[in-house]
This record gives sequence, C-alpha cells and structure tokens, in this order.
Amino acid sequence: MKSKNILIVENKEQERKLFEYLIGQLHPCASVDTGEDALNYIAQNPVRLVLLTLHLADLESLDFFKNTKKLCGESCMLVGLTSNLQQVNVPFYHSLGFEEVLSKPIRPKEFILKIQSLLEKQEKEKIKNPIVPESLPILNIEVYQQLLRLSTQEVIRQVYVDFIQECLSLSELLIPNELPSEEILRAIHTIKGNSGTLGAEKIHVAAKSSESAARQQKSIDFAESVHYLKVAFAEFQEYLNKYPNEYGA
Amino acid sequence: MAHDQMKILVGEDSSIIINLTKSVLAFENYSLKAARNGKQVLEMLAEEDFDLILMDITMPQMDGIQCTKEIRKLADPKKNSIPIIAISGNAANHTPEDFRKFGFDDFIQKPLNYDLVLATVKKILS
Repeated sequence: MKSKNILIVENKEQERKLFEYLIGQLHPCASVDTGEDALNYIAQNPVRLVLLTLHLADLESLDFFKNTKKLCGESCMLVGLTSNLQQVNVPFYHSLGFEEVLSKPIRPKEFILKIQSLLEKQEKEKIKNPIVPESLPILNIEVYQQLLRLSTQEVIRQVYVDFIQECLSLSELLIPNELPSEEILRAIHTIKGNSGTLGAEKIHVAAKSSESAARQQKSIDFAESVHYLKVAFAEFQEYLNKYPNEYGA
Repeated sequence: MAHDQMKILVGEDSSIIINLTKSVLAFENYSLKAARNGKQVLEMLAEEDFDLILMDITMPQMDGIQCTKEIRKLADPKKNSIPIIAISGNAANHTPEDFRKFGFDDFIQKPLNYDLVLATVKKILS
C-alpha cells in the first residue's frame, strides 16, 4: 500500500473533504484541520506534497510555512490555497518555497490536473538530480591503489569484505519511512566515514545524505537517501564479487 | 623506517578502521593497540606507556574530546603529555583552535587519507 505522503491542511470541513476526495483519486492522502496537527503529522511521516490553506487560525502563518519546509525537506512541495488570490502576494509565497498558490473555489478537473502535473514534475526532478549521480564510481581506484601501496592486498581485500558485511547488517535495520534511532544514526555515521576512507564513493554520498536528512528530521529526504544507500550497498557487493582478486582489474 | 618501534594507541569504535590502521602502521614499523571507546583508552593508558594516541572524536561511552580532557588531567607527566591526534568525521563543527583547546596536538579529518595519517604521525613523533 502506498504511504499517505500527501497532506491536506484545511480548516473548512467541506473543502477539506472535497480535496481529500479529489486527491484521493490520484494518491493516498492524509488531512488535518489545524496547523499544529499538520506539523505533528509532518514530523512523523514522510510527506512529498503539502496542500494548505494560507489562512490558518491557530498558528502564525509565516512561522508555520517556514517550519513546514524545514521539516519536510527541500524535495517536498508546498501548494497554497486562498480565496483571495488577488490580495495575496504570490511572489512572497514563492520566496518562502511555495511551488504554487491556487485560487479557491477550485475547479475539480483543473485542480486534479494541476496536482498530477506537480507530482510528475517532482518525479522528473528526482530523476534529473539523483542523490547519488550515476557517474560516480562504485570504488575509487586511486584510493584502493593508495591503500595497496601502504598495506597488503590480502589485508585490504579482507577490509573491503568486512566493510560490505557491516553495510549489509545496517541495511537490515534501515526502514525508509521511519527516522532512525540514535544507534542506527551512529551506524550510518560510521559507514559514511568508512566508505569515504575506502573509496566506496556511491555509498559515501548516500550515507552522507541519509545522515544529514536524519539529523534534520527530514523524513521524506531520509526515505529517498536510504533507497539510494541500499542500492549502493548492493552495487558494491556485486562489484566485490565481480573482481575476486584485484578490484578494477 | 629508521625509528625504533614506537607504540601507538588508537581509540576508535570501527573494527574496519582499526584493522586498516593497524596494517598501514605496521607496514611502517609502528606497533598499534586499539581501544573501542574513551574509557578503554584510559584503562589501557594506565597499564601501558604509548608514544602517541590516535583518537576518534565520536565513540560510545566516552567520546574522544572527554577522554583527551581526562588524559590531560592525569598526574603522571609522561601520560598527561602524550601527543594525541584527533580523528573527526565532523571536523567542520570545530576549528583547529577548538581542537587545540580540547588538548589535541593535531587533527585529521575523516574520511581518512592514509598518506596524511602517516605524515601526521611521523611529524608528531619526529
């Protein structure tokens, strides 16, 4: 089942139900009616799009918007809703990180198409700017050769085998939609350092991104980074198996 | 390799880094013993003399900064003046001045570049 990573924040019940119904046709979604509930939801769930009315009664709007972006991460989209589009300073909301500000009342068909196009745009951005670029080497041969110069091939080989075992043990503990415990975060930090030292570049970049997202409590960014981290682990393991004697030979 | 075999203690919780460092330093005729946390570093230092400590900052139970502060408070002048090199994965959080204030003689940033590790060890022990 897809997780509910679209959040609707609307204090008017009728409108909230309409948005739920319309967006629910595209993607599972959650809804809340106060800013406080929204922040609680965002803090505990990976959210990729927040649709929210700009006029919430219970929170200072500016603080709320800033916190929302901070909690969700850069990849999360904010879409504002207002019944006074003429009076709203749209460039100001864009400067806060809003992708769009839509006018209420909405036209259902247009609204669905708009949300759908935003989600597609988000997917394309992800493909265009992956957390771990495909061009990065799985193993930096220069680092490997430096280690060979300073030790023996047998020792270095064993270090790489131990390293991938450590990675695979961590992999089993990583749950993409859940921010990690302090213990798991420490293990990610260790993998980040070790991968850099050993020249496992894809793992290093993915671990760095995972650690950073987790420390900033950005759950959706963490989920994405963990996906890349697990792929990088699998690629590295395959690489070690492919070159049983000397890496990159 | 003109030096007599010098004894280095590494405080590091990752067995991968311990094994790698041990191998690289042995290649240069240094002997290396490892402690997995700051408390163990203090225990081993109490029992044995070392020429240098490589100290990871992030360790369980007692971190490298706390451990270094404890070492600098020891009564034995030989122990409390031992050269200590910090190894930090979050060096961006501290300035070189911070490391000196914590009691370190030098610091190396993770990911480790072993040419730099060796150069720093040789410089401190020369």
